[in-house]
Formats: sequence, structure tokens, C-alpha cells
Amino acid sequence: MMRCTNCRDNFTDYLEDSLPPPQREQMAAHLRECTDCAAELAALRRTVAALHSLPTVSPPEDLLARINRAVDAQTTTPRFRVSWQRIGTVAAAATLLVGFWAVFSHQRPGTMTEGISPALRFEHAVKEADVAEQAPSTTAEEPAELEEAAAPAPEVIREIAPPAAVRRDRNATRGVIREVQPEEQPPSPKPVYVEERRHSESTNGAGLDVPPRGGELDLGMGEEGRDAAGMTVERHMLTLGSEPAAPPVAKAQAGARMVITPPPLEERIVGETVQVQMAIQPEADVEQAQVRVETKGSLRLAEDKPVIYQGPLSMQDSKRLAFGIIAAETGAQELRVDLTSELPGVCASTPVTIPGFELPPQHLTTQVFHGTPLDQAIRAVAQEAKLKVSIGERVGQEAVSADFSAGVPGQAALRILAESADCSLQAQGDTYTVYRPAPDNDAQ
Amino acid sequence: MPPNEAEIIRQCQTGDSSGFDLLVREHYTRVYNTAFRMLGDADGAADATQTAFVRAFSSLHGFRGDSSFSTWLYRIVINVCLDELRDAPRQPASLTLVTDDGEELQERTIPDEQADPAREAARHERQEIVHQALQRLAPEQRVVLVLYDLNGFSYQEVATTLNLPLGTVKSRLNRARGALKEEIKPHLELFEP
Repeated sequence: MMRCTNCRDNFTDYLEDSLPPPQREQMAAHLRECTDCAAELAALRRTVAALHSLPTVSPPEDLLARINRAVDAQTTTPRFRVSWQRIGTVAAAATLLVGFWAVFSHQRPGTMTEGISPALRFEHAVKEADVAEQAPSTTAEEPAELEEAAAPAPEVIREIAPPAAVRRDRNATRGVIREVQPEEQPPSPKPVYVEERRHSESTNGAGLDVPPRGGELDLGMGEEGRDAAGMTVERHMLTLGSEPAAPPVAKAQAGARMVITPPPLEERIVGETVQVQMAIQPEADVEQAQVRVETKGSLRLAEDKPVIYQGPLSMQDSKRLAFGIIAAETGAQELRVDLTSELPGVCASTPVTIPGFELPPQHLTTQVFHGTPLDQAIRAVAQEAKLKVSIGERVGQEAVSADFSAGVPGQAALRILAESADCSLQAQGDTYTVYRPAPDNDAQ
Repeated sequence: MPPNEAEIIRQCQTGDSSGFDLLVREHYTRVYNTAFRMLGDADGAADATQTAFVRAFSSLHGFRGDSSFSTWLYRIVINVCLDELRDAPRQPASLTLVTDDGEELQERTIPDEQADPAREAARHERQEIVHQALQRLAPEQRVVLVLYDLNGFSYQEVATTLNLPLGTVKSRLNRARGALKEEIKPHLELFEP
């Protein structure tokens, strides 16, 4: 006879249906007799369901940018946290000239500039830029934002997204992009950006070992070619006169607000179509918005149409949409919703994780049998637990007794009934068959 | 998982870390949710998420692929959270819930005009109770619930992430669920079907 302690130690395995059949039946038998354990199990079942009902929370909107900045800071030295606005017109022009000099006299193949179009390869402009950096600023005063950033904080001064016309592949040349904005524009008709990157070549004294980020160039920083963290610093002068080698890989998570409502927990059943609702509100009116859903893993869309909406969106109204999903496996399911439009700023991309998909619930039976014919008991359980059963020819009307009043999963009840009459239970598809194994002499 | 995740990792390990932000984008929501349930508050979760990715980036060269990247990443964020809890034990924080005017958009829900407001309020109350109860558990119990019940990890994945024997995971999960049940027992009537 199982003790209460043993029974409760196995509650989770029982709920997860991961007990070997004999042990599971022992537990079921104990639960039929011990109302305390049965009540505890019921409470635990509700607790687990409540836990599974916790929603996925959205990270703060700025978290992604924060993470990327922090990772970038691993390769950024405080040495250059000064305003590039100090450079001024003359310095910028000089830098450009030196940049051209660098291209034609010092360009080395196979360096970090791979992935950048040849027009952007202005290596070795850095030395001269460094000189220019130290020159007195021609700008009257620094914006407060830049002054603050000039402090030795582990953040970049200012990150300016390049305009669409000069947008480049951030993933190809990951780094901090700073716009040179002198009071007087340099004589170049094209915008000028300075990119700064750094990488470590060895573990520094603090034990930080940052993987190199894209190249081996050491462009020379005077007597301080490395920063305090032991990282090599390099800086590239880029004139973005041509389109980048590849478009941006990731879309900005901005420009629209998307709110996604997963199906209620009780509806998250494997194999069934469940509805996900969403609302979208852009920050500007757009005429040609497209909302696309991409599923992952075992999840698929109920209708094989990943584009769930095409048309206008108004910043005044929240557009409500819905789409069906079907999970083939239990557990958390993932999808991604992408919004694109004709306005580059109105786009969004958000991953969604919907936890708690489960197999169809086992319906319980609460039947009590005292000397009931086996076939009759089986049909009663099947009817209550909504199970399909088939009764073999050799299964007769043996009297069986069982008390399932505490609530027992129908499948387990069928097995208990069958085995109490020396029969067996077999699942074939969605049908359970109760049969009596053939005696050895019959099989011969 | 991005189809090219393994390739991105390999590139990062050989010096081209340009794809690392794709890994961040792919995993940060779940990492944040893990930290949020572990630490109980949004600010702490955001900080832990950031720290975890920085640590992952710094250590990626040592990732051998013995486990999946996500398992490796979750091990890092769990360690960050456990460190944080050890250094600064905290009181359970409140869960920020969506309001009808959408001011606090922490939860991916749409205020449903058709829904019964009382029912919605009750649902939020139940979630708050569970979230707070979770914070009152010992961290070593909380972590198995977060990984197994909230993140949908298998026993084996939990065992790998926490570097624990499978049997320990099972028994700890059973005890953790039992402890959570005791925590919410005073409110159990709210959870009646």
C-alpha cells in the first residue's frame, strides 16, 4: 500500500504522466482511497494551471538598443568620447583628403573593410582625424548631450541613424556611427560619417576577453594605440556616397505599437486551431502596410497565408487583426509579427512566445462501481470521459468494483478496470481497446 | 532560432561578431521574461538581460556547442539572476499590468471591449498572486518553475541548464510546485475552475 508521502513525492510525475504504469496505478488506487492526497493533488493541479497562465511580458522598448550599446561598449574606448563636432570644417576636409591618401597608399586587402563598398574604404584617415580631434573646436559651444557623453561613461556619445539614402548594413560593419556636423559643411556633397570600432587582441588585466569584432587593423593611436581596457582602437572615415553592400538586416522596433493577445490558456491545445488577436497603431498614417506572421518550430498558421493584412493603417485608430495558429507539440510556441509599410519609420518586428500548449485534456471520471459488469463499467467511464472505446470479444461481464469519485483520468480508469479483470488496454489512434490477452494454448 | 544561428556563432568565434545582434534580437524577449520571473521587477530584469548578453558576448569564444546556444544563454541569465538575488535580496515586486488606456504596456494583451471587466480584473489578480508567490520561493525552487513551467523546458533541458542530475530536477520541481501551492493556498478559491 502506498503511503501519502510517497504519493505526494510523485505528484509532478503523475501530473506529467511520466510514471511507469504500475506506479501510476498504485497512485491512482491511493488517490481513490485517500481524500487528503486527492485534495492536495487537485490543489496542485490548479496551482500549475495558474502558473502556466502567467503572460509573456514585453521588454522595455529601449532594451534592445541598451543591449546593443552595452555590447558595443565592449569594444569602445573612452579615449574617443569627445565630440566630433569639435572637428569643424577644416579638420573634416583635411580628414577627407587624408582619407583619399590612405586609400591609394595604404589600403590593405582582407581587412575590416570587407563588406563595405570600395568607396567607403578610407582607412588610415584615423591618425589625421586624431590630430584634428585635438585641435581647438571651431564650434562655439557643445550641445549638452555631447558634453555629457564626453564623460568617461561606458556609453557612446551619440548614435545617429544614417538617413535612408545612406543607410548601410549595420551588421556588416557593426560599430558606432557618428555624424560629422560642422557648422560649415565640408566641400563634399555627400554626408560624412565617422565609424569607430575597437577590438581586443588579448585578455586585458581585468580578465575581460572580448572577441575581435571584425578585423585586425591597428591604425595607430600615437603612443596610446590601445585604450585602458587593452583594446585596439581603429576608426574609419567613411563617405557614404553609395548604397551599402547589403540592406539592414533587422527592422527597427519603432514607428508602430503592436499589442498581441495570445489565446487563453485553456484554449492552447495541441492540434487545435486557436486564435491570436492583435492590434496595431502606427505613429503615422500609411497607405501600404503589410503585416506578416512567421511561425517557428512546430507551430504553423491555420491558413497558409503569412501575410495577414495589407492595406492602410491610421495613426488615429487601432487596427484589430486575428489569425489562427496550430501547434503540433506541447510547450511554448514562438512566432514573429512583422509590420512594414511604405514609410521607413513605420515598421515593427516583435517576437512572441506563447507558453503552455498542452495535449487535449484527459476528461475525468467520477464513477463508482460495485460488482458492475466490466463492459458496462467501461462504457460508463468512456461516456463520461468522452473517450472512444472498443471492447474485445473475449471481454465478458466480469464483476468489477472501483471508486473513481475523487476524479480519475478516463484513460487511467479504463486501465484499472481492465486490469482488475485480467484484461488489457491498448490505444489505437483516438480509440481505446479493452481486450483479454489470448491464453498461450490459444495462440498455438 | 534563426536558421543560421550556428553560422553566426561560428563567425563570432572567428572574429566577425557582426551577427551578434541577431542573436540578441532572437532571444532577448524570452531572456527578459526569464529574468522578470526570477527577479520580480521590470528594471532588474532589464539590467539582468543586458548583463547576460554582455557576458554571453564576452564568453562566446568559449562556447563549444555541447549544449544548444539557448541553453547556454539561459544558464548565463540564470546565473546573473542568482548572483543578483544573492547580492541584493528583494521583496516581491508588483506585476505591471496593462491598463485600459494602454499606459503600462507590459503585458501583451489587448483591452477587450467585449470582455467582462470584472473577469479581466479577476484574471489580473490571479496572475499577480502567482507572480508574488513565485517571488517568495527560494531561488533554487523558483528557477526550476521558471524554466520548466514558464519556459517550457524539458526535464533534461532544465538539468543541462542548471547542471543538475535529472532526478534532482524532478524532485526539486515537485517540491517547488508544492511550495508554490502552499503560497497561493490562501487564495485558492480564486483559482477554482
